[in-house]
Amino acid sequence: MAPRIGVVTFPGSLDDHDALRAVRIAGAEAVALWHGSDSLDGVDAVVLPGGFSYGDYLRCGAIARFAPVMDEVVRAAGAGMPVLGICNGFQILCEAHLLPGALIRNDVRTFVCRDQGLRVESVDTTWTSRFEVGQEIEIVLKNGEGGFVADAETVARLEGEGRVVFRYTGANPNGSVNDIAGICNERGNVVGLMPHPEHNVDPLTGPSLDGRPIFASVLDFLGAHV
Amino acid sequence: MQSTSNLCRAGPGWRAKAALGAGVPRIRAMARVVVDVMPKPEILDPQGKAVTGALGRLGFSGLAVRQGKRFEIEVDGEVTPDRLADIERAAETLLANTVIETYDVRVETDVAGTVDEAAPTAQGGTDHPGHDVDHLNEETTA
Repeated sequence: MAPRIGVVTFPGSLDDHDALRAVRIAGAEAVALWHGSDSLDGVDAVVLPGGFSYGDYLRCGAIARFAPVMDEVVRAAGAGMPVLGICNGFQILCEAHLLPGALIRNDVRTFVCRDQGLRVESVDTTWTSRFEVGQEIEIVLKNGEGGFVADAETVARLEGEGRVVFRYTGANPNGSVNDIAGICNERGNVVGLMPHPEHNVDPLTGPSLDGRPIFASVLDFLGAHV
Repeated sequence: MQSTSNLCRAGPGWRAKAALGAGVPRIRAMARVVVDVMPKPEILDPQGKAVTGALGRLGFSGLAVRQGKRFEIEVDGEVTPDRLADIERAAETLLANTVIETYDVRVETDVAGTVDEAAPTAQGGTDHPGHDVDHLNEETTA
């Protein structure tokens, strides 16, 4: 039986369907989850997609973080379920304190939309095991509030514990501290990143296929635990 | 506003309300709690920088701006210590992200509050020449 991977739709989510499609392309069953539901429909992993949930009102992800479904996501994440937060999803994970730090407005004060070079810093997560450490990939980046910030102690802990998962290569596009593009929790099952791997899975619509290993990694993980 | 002739449809107790002075709009004391949220000093504030730059271009020199948010919270009745503690918790939980922001909570009491719509009121000032009803209405609709 194919693993089931859920993608949550919040009011204002934009890339939920792209994420569902990326899950299908990877060979898993894609399950649409509703923000107002109190159930994860028995999925094996969850993706919080990109977009502008609640219009980015108050702060990006600040309101979505209290959606009914998030109680279940937090509980499941604590129990080890793989959770991937993409862009707005990363913001929601930080607001929900499933990941440390916060995302603030790009220091360049413009919306950034580009094919972004990344370096994979950690393969010890349920979403990056298919990569090699130091592998350089290209993933679509599109955000206005992508600057990752955290206090010095938190940054030192993330770096020291190998919890920086992706780093921007080339010029830092948004002012993120230490060029951090993505991080994970202590256990490695919750990963948040600003770039959009779901836009890099199809040669017709994406500049590279570098997003595929992210979804393949979690299938490896789920396959090993069936 | 209801005219005195409509008092009969104002529901139970209308006679008592009329006796109490139906010409005066009922004014409830409303408390307002203001929560100010600002980015922490060590956090980069791109919006503030943009505003600072714009001010400079307009000829306002030597002004450095940091931009935050102000939340005005209308509270029914009094702001007891318990309610204030509630609001502080709301500020900590939702209104501010304490990873990157600080907040400040203060109570403002606005006596002019709002008109209690359940109380019947007279039209204009003709029924009670001693009350400047229109003036009172001006205050309460600020």
